[in-house]
Amino acid sequence: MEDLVLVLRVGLVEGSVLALIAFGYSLIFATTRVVNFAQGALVLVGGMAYLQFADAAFTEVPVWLAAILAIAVAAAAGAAVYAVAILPLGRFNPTVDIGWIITTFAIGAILMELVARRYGTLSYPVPPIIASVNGWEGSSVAEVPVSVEQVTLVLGTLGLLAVLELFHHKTIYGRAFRAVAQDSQMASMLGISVRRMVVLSFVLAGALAAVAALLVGPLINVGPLPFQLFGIQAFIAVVLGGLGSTRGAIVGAYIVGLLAAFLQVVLGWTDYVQFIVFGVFLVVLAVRPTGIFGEPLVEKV
Amino acid sequence: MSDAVRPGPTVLSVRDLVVTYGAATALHGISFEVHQGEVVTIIGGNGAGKTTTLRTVSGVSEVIQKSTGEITFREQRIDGMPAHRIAKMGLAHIPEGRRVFPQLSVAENLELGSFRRRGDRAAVAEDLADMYRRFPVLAERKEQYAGLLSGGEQQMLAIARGLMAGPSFLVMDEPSLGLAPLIVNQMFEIIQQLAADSGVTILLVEQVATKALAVADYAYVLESGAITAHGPAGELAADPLVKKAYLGG
Repeated sequence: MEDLVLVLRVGLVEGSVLALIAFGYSLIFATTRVVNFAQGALVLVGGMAYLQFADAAFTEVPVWLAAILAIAVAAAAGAAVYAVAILPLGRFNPTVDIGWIITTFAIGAILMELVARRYGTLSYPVPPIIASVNGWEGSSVAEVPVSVEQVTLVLGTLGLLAVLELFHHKTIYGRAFRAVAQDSQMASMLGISVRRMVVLSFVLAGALAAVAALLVGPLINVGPLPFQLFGIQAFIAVVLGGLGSTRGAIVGAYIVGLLAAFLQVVLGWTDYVQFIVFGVFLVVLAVRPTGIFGEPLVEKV
Repeated sequence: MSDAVRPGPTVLSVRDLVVTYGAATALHGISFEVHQGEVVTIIGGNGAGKTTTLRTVSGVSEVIQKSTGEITFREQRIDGMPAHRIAKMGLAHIPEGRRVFPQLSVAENLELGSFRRRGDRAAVAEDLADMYRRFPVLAERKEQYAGLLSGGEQQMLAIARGLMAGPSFLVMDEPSLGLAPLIVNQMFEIIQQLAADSGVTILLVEQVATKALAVADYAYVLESGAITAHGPAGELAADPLVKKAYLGG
């Protein structure tokens, strides 16, 4: 029982962080057919922006305002990734012209370097957005401590993703977004600005990366090392779930999170977690290259 | 061909349009006009450049495509303008191959057709009801994924989606392609009906030249990227050369 609760806690916490990041990968892939390798860097930018605004050593503002500013900074960084890594490629076919692998990777490296220049490579503690709810700061569930930060992270993520999924499926803008993902040229013939949708996907991906950073920051501190790894794991999650499918991204993220938690908690294979997660990733790629929710890639006629 | 007096003001005017794909030239400087309220058809064989013409007018093109010439729509130059802005001016393009969004429902496809006038809820709702009346099969299947419809149903959806834009100008590319003969007839009835009662101007490209000439007011013959004949559709249909080449003798 104790193990089960612990696996759930660890797995849902990690899964939530990955889900927010993976959702961003998926949005960008859907509109551009590009995998944004700067995604991990956006998480770091969001985390450091939160540190910058929430910590007394820098510019201290109320936590809620720091959170909003961090989200805005990362959203702007997302737009910058588009402007620097994608826009200069002009009109291109991302499945043939693969320059974006270098350009998104490069802008990610540049963002990481800029952060390192200013904040160094250490990790810093950041305050939680919600420190307590009516005085409740956490409790023990079957001897496993569960903190308000962990609950905020998981419920906040699920709530936010539910809202985004509703937007995606129930509003005309969400439908326009999906239309662009399915046939961008046809969407443009209906009066939908494809470029606007692409920019929106980068901005949203940046904002979600910041949300992931500022929700997980209080649990593990913010810094380059843990955040870079999130970027890679979320990429695995999104490929597992099916690139371009936002639901797939969410499911894939929780699978990776729970699998990692199971390996650590039940089997105690802490040192081999990454190794095994990558192994599963390779097996899935070999067996089902389009992921769990991915549609087979059929050339449109 | 007689230079018949064509009704109404010019809505679309194409002047000296040249389109190249890398080293290949698809259109060698073609010119044509569409007047208000007309049904104009461009007939021609496979690879004559019909689809290229329509796509260039609508502002969609392939990466390697280059074009020169003037395209004027409603007294505004639209050559080089992105497709979504041309669509917003009231030009709806019903493309070759239907291009419905396969993983959106029929209703969602129709809703997106009205994207350019999404604020006008009353008019959109009215037109949606009208589409379901005109195409009852779409009403029956409105919750289904468009990708699951038959070819004929997808073509109806593509036409209805185009009409949901509330267009003043309709560009139709091979609406009969890949359809059973019975459905082809139905499709042309729909086109005729549209022209008669909604007053929309139509530019139609078709390989089934007999049908196209029967519904059209004016016609152009496109051969290997050049316009070789034009005139009132009835006259062209009677022309011995056109008959021989496109109407099966």
